Amino acid sequence: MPHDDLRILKDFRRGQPVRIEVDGEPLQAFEGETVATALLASGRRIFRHTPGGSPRGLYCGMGICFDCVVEVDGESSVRSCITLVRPGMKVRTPRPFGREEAQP
Amino acid sequence: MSAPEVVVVGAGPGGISAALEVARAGASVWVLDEYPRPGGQYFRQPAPGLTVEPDSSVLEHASEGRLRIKQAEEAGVRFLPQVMVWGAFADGSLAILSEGKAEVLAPAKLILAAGAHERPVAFPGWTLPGVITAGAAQALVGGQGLLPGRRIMMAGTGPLQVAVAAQLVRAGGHLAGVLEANSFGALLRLGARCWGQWERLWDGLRYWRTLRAAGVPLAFGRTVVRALGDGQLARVVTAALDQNWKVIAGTEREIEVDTLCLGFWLAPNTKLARLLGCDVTYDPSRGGLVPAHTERMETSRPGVFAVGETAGIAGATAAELQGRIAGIAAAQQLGKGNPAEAAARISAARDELARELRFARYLNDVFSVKPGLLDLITDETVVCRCEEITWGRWREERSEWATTLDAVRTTTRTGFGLCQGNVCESLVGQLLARETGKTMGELGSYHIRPPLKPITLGALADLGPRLPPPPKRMEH
Repeated sequence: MPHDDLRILKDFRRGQPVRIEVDGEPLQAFEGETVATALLASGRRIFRHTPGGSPRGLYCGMGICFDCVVEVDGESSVRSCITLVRPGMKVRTPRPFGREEAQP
Repeated sequence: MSAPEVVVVGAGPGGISAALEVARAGASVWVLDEYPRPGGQYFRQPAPGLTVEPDSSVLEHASEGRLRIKQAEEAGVRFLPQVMVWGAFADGSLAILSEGKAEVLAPAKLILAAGAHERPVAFPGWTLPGVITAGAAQALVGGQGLLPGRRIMMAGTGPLQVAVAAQLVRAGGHLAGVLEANSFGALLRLGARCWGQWERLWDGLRYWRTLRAAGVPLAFGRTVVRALGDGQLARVVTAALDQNWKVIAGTEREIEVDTLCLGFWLAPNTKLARLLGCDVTYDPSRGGLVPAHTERMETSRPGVFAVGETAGIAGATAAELQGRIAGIAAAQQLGKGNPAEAAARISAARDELARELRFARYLNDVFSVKPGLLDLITDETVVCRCEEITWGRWREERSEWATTLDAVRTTTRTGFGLCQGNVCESLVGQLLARETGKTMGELGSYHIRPPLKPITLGALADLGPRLPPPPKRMEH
């Protein structure tokens, strides 16, 4: 199912396509997009699972709440809402320790 | 990095206007901001690489903002985007992180213009992916050209959520409803107090008409009481509220949505001010915990100024006026500018500001979160999102003697997580006030230490001996 329909076409012109990797899968985003935007536009709303196992995604959207943190190029706790995509960026949506296999 | 004479933290309306005045008076000034482009929430600019039509109705204040930013740059202001401020020290210096590298800046004057964030309201399911703040929706639509979802419910209080709802509609979003927790009567009384504020009433009417034209259902005295879904939001339960925002039994209704935007008005971002040891007071008419300041916007700490929402919720016009005042005053302390002219301009700005603040007091009063809403929180509801502390566990672990916010923080670990209390502080404050019968003013606040935000040990190690000593702990 295409999820591109969340990107607003009216009044906006997007920059160059940028290819990133999310949990090992390729994903096309656009220059100027945040990691959160790339995830949401691809239909991913669960950005991570807490140590307690509950799903979390975007909340404040402005760098305050740290709920949307993901792993970017090996660095943990990176706020996806204020981090721009870069070509070749590797994003991982964290799972609780020891539960790597339990998730779909 | 050779530091400028003045550092402004936050590139929104207040920060830009403060920096412009400093630069015009002939002092060097940098404006630090975490976002990729200056402008803040109000003058939001689309991210680099993304272009938006000039005068697009999706991004209302962008053109105005672009003009202000250009004007400031031409005056000599340097904007440093994607810079995180994570610490402040006894000597007034700031610790920042820029492109993965930690640095210390020691400006002669500091202007805090860090804005505000949505006041948190907790209820079962509020941590589900798909539940976001109205500010998040605004940032996605305006800054990223992205709709937050396909079927969106807006719930909260105040004009801001109505503005965001109208923005979503203009961007082509589908809204399932906009719920204002206050009754229509309470808003009419506000309208009467705003007699003469035609521009604002007109703005409100315009947003309203956009929503009416799009057929978006508007409800008063109603809010979302539960968010439901398996792993992510799928449905919300709404209910009618009484004057105290207590749920009226039997009025629940379930509706399918994939996105819920919560816009329960704003709380000032004051952590940096508190870390610097600036005196703060609890003043509901200014939106909660705010730094004390002089008529020239200087905090209790000489040379440190606070403007815009950080100094109290009062809107963009007030932020610009306060920025102007602080900018002129800071430059004057550096011996720049013409003193007679400075005094006249500050006095003129103060007259205009007084009108804005009067209006803001009405809004902060009417759109305060009423205590009935706290009853939505059950034993299983998370109150600290970072540390996953539920209300049930919080009550179990809070010792009897823990009757201040800081004591509660230590005993229950609320505020220990990544956000360092950004979200939970005011929520836990309201709950603690209810539990202890104390006023918010008596509860104090979380004790703030660096780092304000997570940084890597590597970045910290790079800084090494250049790391100044922390500020002394404030006595309560």
